[in-house]
Parts: sequence; C-alpha cells; structure tokens
Amino acid sequence: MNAAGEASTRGRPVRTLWRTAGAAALLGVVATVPFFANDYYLEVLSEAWFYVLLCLGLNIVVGYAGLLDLGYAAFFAVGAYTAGLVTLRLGQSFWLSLPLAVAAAALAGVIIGGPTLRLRSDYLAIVTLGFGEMVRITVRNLAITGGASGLVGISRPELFGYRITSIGDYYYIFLSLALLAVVASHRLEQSRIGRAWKYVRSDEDAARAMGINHAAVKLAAYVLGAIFAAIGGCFYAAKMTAISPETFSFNQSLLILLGVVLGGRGKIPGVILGAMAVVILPELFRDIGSMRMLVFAISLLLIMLFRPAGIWPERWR
Amino acid sequence: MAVAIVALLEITGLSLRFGGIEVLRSLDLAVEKGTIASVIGPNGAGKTSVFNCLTGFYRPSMGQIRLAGRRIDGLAPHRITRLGLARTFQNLRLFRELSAAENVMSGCHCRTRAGALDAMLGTARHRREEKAIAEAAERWLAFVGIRDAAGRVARTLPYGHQRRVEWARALATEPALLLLDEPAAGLNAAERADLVALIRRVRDDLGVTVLLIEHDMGLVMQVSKHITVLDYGRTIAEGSPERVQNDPHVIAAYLGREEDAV
Repeated sequence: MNAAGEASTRGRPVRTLWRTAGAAALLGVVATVPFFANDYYLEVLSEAWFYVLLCLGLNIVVGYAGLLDLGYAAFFAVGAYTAGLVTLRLGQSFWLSLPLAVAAAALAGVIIGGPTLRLRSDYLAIVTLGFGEMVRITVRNLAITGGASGLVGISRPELFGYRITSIGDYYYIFLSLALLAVVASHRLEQSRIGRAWKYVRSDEDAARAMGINHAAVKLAAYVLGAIFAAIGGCFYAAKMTAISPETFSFNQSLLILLGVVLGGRGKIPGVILGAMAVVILPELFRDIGSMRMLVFAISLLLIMLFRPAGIWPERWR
Repeated sequence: MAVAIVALLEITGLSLRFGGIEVLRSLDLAVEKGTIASVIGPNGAGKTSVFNCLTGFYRPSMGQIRLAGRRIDGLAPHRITRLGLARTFQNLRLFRELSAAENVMSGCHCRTRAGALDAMLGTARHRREEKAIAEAAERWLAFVGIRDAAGRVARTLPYGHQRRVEWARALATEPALLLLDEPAAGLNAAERADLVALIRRVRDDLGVTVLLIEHDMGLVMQVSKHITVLDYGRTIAEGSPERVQNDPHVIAAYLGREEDAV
C-alpha cells in the first residue's frame, strides 16, 4: 500500500523481538523476587498481582463490554466467603471451594446481570452498586458468615501433602493467577466473543442487526468478570486465613475500578499498570503518614488530567 | 389470486403506529425469490419504517411478516438476521474505530458458535472458526472490490468504500434476503454504475434476493423487477417499472395533484 504502511511492516519483526526480550527479562525478575525480597515487599507485590487479577476481571466488564460495574467487590466476596465456609463450616478441602465459588459467582452474575443488562449502562451501575452493598450487609448479618467479625481460621490449602503457608508461596500463586488472567484476557480479546464485545460497545444497534445477541454477549462479560473475582477471592481467603465484611466495601469496588480506568480500560498492559499503581502508590507514600491518601489522590488526579485515556492509551491508528 | 407465486418475503396488513401517528397503514408487500425489488415513495412515506419492522427494530402494531413462510414479526433483530435477513443502513452504521476486516467479521458472528471457554482454552473449534472468519472477511471484501482496505480503520476510508464495507458486512451474515436502504445516496456517477453491477452480482452470483429503498429513480427502474410505491404509509401502486412509471397515483404523489396546484 502506501510508504508508511511498508515501513511499519518492516519494523514489526524487530519490535516484536525487543518486546519478547523485554517480556522475558521482566518475567525473569518477577519470578525470582522471593529469593531476594523481604516479607514486606513480598506482601505488597502479592497484593499487586492479586489486584492485577481483579482488575483484568473487571476489565472484561468495563473495558471490553463497556459496562459500568460499581459492585465488583461482591464477586470477590463470593469467592472469599465460599472458601471460608467450605473449609470452616463444611470442613472440606480448600480446593472444593474453587468450583463452588465459580458456580456461585456465575449464578449471582446471571441473577443480577440477566434482567439489567438489557438496559443502558447507567442503570446497571446503580444495580451493581446496590448488589455490592447487599452482599456486604448480608454476610455482616448472617451467623454462618460470622457477622461483623467475619470468618477466622480459614485452613490453608494443601497440595500433594504440602501446606501452602509462606508468603513466598502466595506470591507465586497470585503471580500465576495474574499470568493466567493475562493469557485468558488476551485470548478473549482476539476471539469471536471478544470482537462481539467491541461491536456492541461501538454501536449496539448495528451489532444487533449483524445477528449479535447484545444481552447475551454482555451477560457473558459480566459472568466472566465475576468468575475471575471469585477465583481470586478463594485464594485471598486462603492467604489471609481471616476475612471480614468490611474488606468488600464500596471502596474496594471503587479501587478495583480505579485500577482499570487509571491504566487504560480495554488494554491489558494498561490494566496491569493501573492495578500495580493502586497497590504500590499508597505504599510508597507510607512515610508521609496522614498525608498518604491525599498525595495518592493528587497523583491520581494528575494522571487523569494528563493521560485521560489511561497510562497506556490505545495506539492511534 | 389464482396462482401463488413463490414469495421469499410476504408482508400482509402491516400497520405501525407511534402514539397517534400512523406510520404504516395496512401495508401488503411480497418479494419473489431470486429477484430485485424496490420500495419507493416521497420522503416520510414510511419506507425506512418498513425496513425497521422487517429487521425487528420496530414492533408492528398489526399485521404479519413472513420470511420463507416463517413468521418473523415480533422477533428480536439478532434472531431475524440469523433466519437470513440482512440490512444496510441509510446513514452508515459501521463500527467506525474498527478495521474494515473486523467490521465484516461481525457478520460471521451469527454463523459461528465458539464461546468464551473455547477462546480461553484455544480449542479446535475456536481455531477452525477463527480461520474461517478471517477467510470470509477477505472473501467478502474482495467480492465488493475493496480487498486492499482490509486493515484500514473504517472511518478513514472514503465514503464509497465505507458503503462497500457495509455491504460486505451484511453479506457475511449469509442472508437469503438483503435489504438496502438508499444504497446510491451520496455516490458519484461511476460509483453508481458499480453499484448497479454489484446489486446484480448479489442476485446472480450469490442467489440472494434484494429489496431496496431508493430515491434514484433511474437506478430503481434499471434494476427492479417489481416496484412498490408508498405514500402516507400505504401502497399506492405496484408492479413492473413501466406500469409504475405511468401510474397516475404515482405521478400525483411525486409531482402533486391538479387541485394542489395554485
């Protein structure tokens, strides 16, 4: 075609090579962190990977399908409480909680999303906000979920006789979950369903005229996002061994949403950066004590002002 | 009616009301399989409303719509498309920020089945379908004559090419009946000639029946076997181009009646 097109075609292999090398080096560093970092760093970085998983899950809903979800923490709660209840109240293995949590989150997703996803996005925001609070208030008031103090003494998962307890172990678990989420997100993006999300987001009526069931496609995004959070929630419960309702407040939902929007919704590298930012920035500002959240808020405002499409905006074509 | 013709599309007694406004009044229309038919009429006659009823975007107040004998009135748009009815829009409705190829791929959605799990696991079905979808996009873009535009973002394409992307996208749904809403609008003389050839190729090469709404009378008379003329939401004349052209009701609708003249 044109000259610019040819130049970019020729530049592509070199760029791909650099990218692959960069990714390999980065992966090498993150995979060896437990060998040189102290527990504090491991704790923060585990949390960062955990947020990468949550943010990538919410990104399916917000970034790919273009739906505003203000109660995402509810699905994270569904996972965490499923793990807690399965191990504490039923005395079963942690691993049983994974399929149960996935089923529970999918069911909750269908119940909440089914009737509301036909409506425009603003209504969904209100319904999800309500759902988030509903879940939190319900677990706060039920005896079986331990009320306001939550569940304490959740047993650690065992794998081939090895008990997963150390922070280093959990670092690897959350790193693996984050990487799985990246691979899954990438594959979804490049698929029939991923394109359907783009069509519906871009022009809902045109998408319907092309034979796409917009409600079903949005519901798939909502349920998939719920499943990501529920799986994360199970491992979160296993790592903390104690969970309480206040972990799953509206602020939690907002923080996850912030990670997605901050980094650049719909773009995997952006969402990873955004998730890292919402975990690591408050830690960096820990020394300044009470001013910490203020500085955090100001840095968010600055990012939004100067990079309104997120830290990692979509490539201009 | 002594002899029943093979109608691919059959509209009987179609009425559409928005509050007190009657947009369509007991409209009858049939499109014979394998032909090119047109709906014409002055502005506001209800032509696009007919299309919106056919494609499920409007729910008719009364009447029946049959596609290949099957009732489609009241079905959701995506189900109607799946049953073999595709459309283009009067004002382009492309996915503007996506490439031409991605736009055409949207048409393949209703003919493929791979779900989220297939995608995440990279199953054989996912890979097979992705290959077929990519090939279909290329094939349809080639069919409408803009293979080179595949990677271009839709909104950066010239207007005439954007129209062709819409065609390719509609054809990718593998329709039995293609509805074209003012396909000649905004085209120059050369593009218009290409359009005539393209409409005929859709019928002859693909065996797709075509129903178009058009203001360009020359084009309508040139390609149509059957023409239905609407005015104020009802049929005022129908038949072959010659018959419609000489119908006094049609002339009155377009040029005004004697008593209207000052």
